[in-house]
Amino acid sequence: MMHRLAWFGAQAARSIGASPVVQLVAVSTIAVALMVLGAVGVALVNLDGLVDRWRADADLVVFPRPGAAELPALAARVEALDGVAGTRTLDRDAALADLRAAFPDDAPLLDGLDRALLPAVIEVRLAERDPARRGPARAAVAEALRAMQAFEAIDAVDDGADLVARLERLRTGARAGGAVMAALALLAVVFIISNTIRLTLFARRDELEIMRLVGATDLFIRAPCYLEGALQGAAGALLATGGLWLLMRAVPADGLLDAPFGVEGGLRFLPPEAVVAGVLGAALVGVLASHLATGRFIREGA
Amino acid sequence: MIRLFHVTKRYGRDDLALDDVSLRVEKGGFAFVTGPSGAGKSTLLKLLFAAERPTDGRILVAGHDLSRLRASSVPILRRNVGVVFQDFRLLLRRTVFDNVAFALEVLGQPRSRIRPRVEAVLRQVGLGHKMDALPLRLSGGEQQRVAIARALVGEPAVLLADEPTGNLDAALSRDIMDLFTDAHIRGTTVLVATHDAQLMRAVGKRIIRLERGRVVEDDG
Repeated sequence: MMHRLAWFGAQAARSIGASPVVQLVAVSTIAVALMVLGAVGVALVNLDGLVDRWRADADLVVFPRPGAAELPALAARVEALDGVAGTRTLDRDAALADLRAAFPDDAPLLDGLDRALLPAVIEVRLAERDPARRGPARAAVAEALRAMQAFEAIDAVDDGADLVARLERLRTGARAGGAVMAALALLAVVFIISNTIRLTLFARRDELEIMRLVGATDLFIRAPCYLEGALQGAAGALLATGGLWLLMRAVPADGLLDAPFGVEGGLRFLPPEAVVAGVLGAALVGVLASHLATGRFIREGA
Repeated sequence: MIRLFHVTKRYGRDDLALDDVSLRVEKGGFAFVTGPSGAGKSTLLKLLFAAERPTDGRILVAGHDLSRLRASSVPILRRNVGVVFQDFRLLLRRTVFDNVAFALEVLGQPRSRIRPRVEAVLRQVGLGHKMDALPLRLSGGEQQRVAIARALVGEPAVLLADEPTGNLDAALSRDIMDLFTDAHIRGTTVLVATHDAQLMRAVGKRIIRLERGRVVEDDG
């Protein structure tokens, strides 16, 4: 068994070594295709983070009726409700300070802002969470909204449903777009690898003819090509991962990607398990592409 | 060992390569197949190592019924059938040793078994001293010896040769024919397609003559 694997490996290495330029071009092209796919993955990961963060900041935002009550006293009454885990009061000064922190480059504009335009609010965090939604449980939100309707001092309560719904739609759309791009990228990878393998087979046609003549099984003809395809796919994926990581390091993430619209600390890279799955997946796609290429060759040569 | 029952091979509608051919070569037998160009010699050999399938009739080779042979079983047949061609079909960038060893490597045999077997068969064909040479450094006769060594290294039950001396002069042709005779003496069934009448007379074995796809003479 081991000597067979060693022979397959040696044949694959010989084949790769025989056409290094073709292999390099193929791996580079695969890397570009997979980088696009990786970029979509990064966008989705960060969109997820964005939705999570917006949910984590406040489950509900309470707008008190102007002059109705002292903000801390109202916050204490809200906090005393069943199911409320905590509150954070944000008076007009604090709201302005938040804005200044969020848009440090627009200080001159904010200097002229009328404080009366900024409402004081109470941010409410609920205790009961829904792991699937990664936010508050729907029942808890409904219960809190119902309880707060009884408070005369409260003008309105925003449960963020509109914003979250919009983000969810954006995320669903992004996922669908990502799936289409993934399919296109995988098709491109299959196309590139299968054509490279066909070039390899063409270059080795004398050898393969003799292999068939002396009774080599299809597996012996195909296995080195499977290895070659898997190596091309994995190498392309690794190159794409490295390239994407370097690109993300090179892009200035400050400001554009920070709070309030981004994730603190800039863009998040793909999680390690996604990178491992991507490399293994690309290797598998390489095997599939090689199977298609050798299948055609074997049928034609049979 | 080799039996053909009313075998017909047709390419397309009009091209009849073999027409109702029946013949028998016993185990350990030796026969020449001869005839003019286009008589069907090469087609007959191709049918015998399953490179082609008969249009009609039945073929038995080394216990395999080729008419019913599945594609996945062709490699098993070919391990029992060595084939030699006029144009040698060697791997020019591999040494003599590697060319012969390749036939065993692709069958999954371990290197420890391959080396002694290849060295033995190369000595048998008189190339023990040229194992590390590249094919293009060899004469035509030597290249054909390498091809024969490659065909014999797997110890096939049947050896087929299609015009094996077509590119060689008379003296080298005789040397090559001696190798086939040696293989025959060792028990291999040998079938050689040739139109070299002088060579056939010199070897003195059975001659099957084909013309227009039909057997017109068989002295066996």
